[in-house]
Amino acid sequence: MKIFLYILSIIFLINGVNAREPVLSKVLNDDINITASFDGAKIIVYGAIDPKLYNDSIVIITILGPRLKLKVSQKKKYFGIWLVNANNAHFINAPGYYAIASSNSNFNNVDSPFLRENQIGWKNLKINMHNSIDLKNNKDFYRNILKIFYKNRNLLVIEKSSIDILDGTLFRADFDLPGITPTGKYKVNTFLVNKEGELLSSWNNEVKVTKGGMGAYLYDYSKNHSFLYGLFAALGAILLGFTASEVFRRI
Amino acid sequence: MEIYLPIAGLPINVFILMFLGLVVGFLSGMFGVGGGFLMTPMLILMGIPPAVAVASEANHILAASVSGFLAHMRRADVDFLMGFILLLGGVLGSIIGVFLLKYLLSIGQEKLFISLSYILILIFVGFWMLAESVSSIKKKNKGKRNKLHEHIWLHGLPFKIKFRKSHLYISVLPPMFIGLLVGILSSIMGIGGGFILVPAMIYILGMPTQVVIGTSLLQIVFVTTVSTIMHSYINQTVDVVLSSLLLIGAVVGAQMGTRAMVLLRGEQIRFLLAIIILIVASVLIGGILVTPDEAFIIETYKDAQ
Repeated sequence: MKIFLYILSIIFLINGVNAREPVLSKVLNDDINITASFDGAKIIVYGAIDPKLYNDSIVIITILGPRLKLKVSQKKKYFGIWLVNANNAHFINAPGYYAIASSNSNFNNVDSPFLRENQIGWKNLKINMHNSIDLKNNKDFYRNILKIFYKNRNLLVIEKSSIDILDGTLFRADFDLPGITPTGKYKVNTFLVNKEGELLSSWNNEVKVTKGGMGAYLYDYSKNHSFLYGLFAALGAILLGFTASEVFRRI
Repeated sequence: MEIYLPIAGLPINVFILMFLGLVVGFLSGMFGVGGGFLMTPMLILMGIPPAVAVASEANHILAASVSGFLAHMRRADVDFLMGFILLLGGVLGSIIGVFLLKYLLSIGQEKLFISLSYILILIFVGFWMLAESVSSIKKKNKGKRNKLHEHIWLHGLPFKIKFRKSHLYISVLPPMFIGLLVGILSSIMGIGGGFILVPAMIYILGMPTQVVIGTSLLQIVFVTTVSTIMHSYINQTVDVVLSSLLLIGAVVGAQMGTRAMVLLRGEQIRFLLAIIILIVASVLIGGILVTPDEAFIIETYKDAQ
């Protein structure tokens, strides 16, 4: 069924490319549900470009996760012990996930006003900080910490070249979301730019990542009915303990 | 097989959790302690946020200690009056502990505070038990006999009452104070407090050993009930999926441990427990001395309202 849809959409895309837009794309799974068995997911983006533009263009796909407020605390060594520094830096709109892939391995060296203005690429992404501490010299430092943190958790995916273009028109790119990926809306943007990094065409998609099933219910319940949640947790534990003791008395 | 923990917000292997439950359950059945002091650091090492580890562990201990308490109640070795006095302090202490944790969370020092309290208490209790068990093994070999209990100045404080089950006539202040202290530690550190309560009741209050474990379990049941509810209400950090998975292994382990216990003498058990406590302490000391992979912590935050 999925393959059938896939083929159908490609036909639609190719027609679309010829008729209207030089680039079109679609996300195969735009509704990702975090259920009990969730261990990460794949966002699969496929699309087509106008074959006439194949030789002089680069396809770029970016995925921008929901914006989060993040607090960064440094660990420092005092008296030989690693302590957490009480001075925190605050990012007010850090992306919860960021991925970029392109069809050209030279893309990393491309710089253009368009890329900068549209915040394409990790280095062009605007992430603002709360001015609670002196950040004049530290902004790059904290941003680098953020980068290391994201990379270690696969929340930041920067691939030099990972989009293959078939027959000069069809492309597909896979992005891995780790298990700890935040819930919210993920913006999937596909850009077609020339070798100088100027826009030829673009297309936007959106992926929703939501908690689902029992886990979502428990999470919401713990937030909205905290006291009752605690009461039920305690009662449940007492019942489990009682059951266990009864069961083992009989063995 | 991975399962997504809804409150902790990360996937974790089910079998590792159940195995951890089994091992800690075995130790708790063998030594008569809740095992929280082993479990909480392990959960934190596995990447579960400390505040979630502590609160969920309180819920796990509640279930484990209910089953232990019922077994002791059937054998009638519970001093309910002493349990009630300990509780007066304990419930107050656990409420204080939850608010203290909330404060520590707000200044971002909860990780350090939790690991430092662990290290200090584990070292103290570990060495004490080690010294005590070694000396009683030596005494046993010489064939001397201990007195039923010794009176110390604490017992002479005002508000004395009679504890028939424990054969004691002492002031209510020391048990209340012990209860308070254990209650605070219990909600901050995610432990039942058995490994502090049991030695305190034997050595400070002078209670007979056979009554101690059942009575300490009574206290633990009530204190962890309060801290489960309070942690859920104030901090929203109890992950019931996590605590139930731990429990599945723990109930089986506890029964195996109880059966293994019969093979050892009392002071040998205390000696082994002391060694385990000191090993956990040294792992934790390593944790704050060794240079971390990431010299920073990044967490989401909410704006102050």
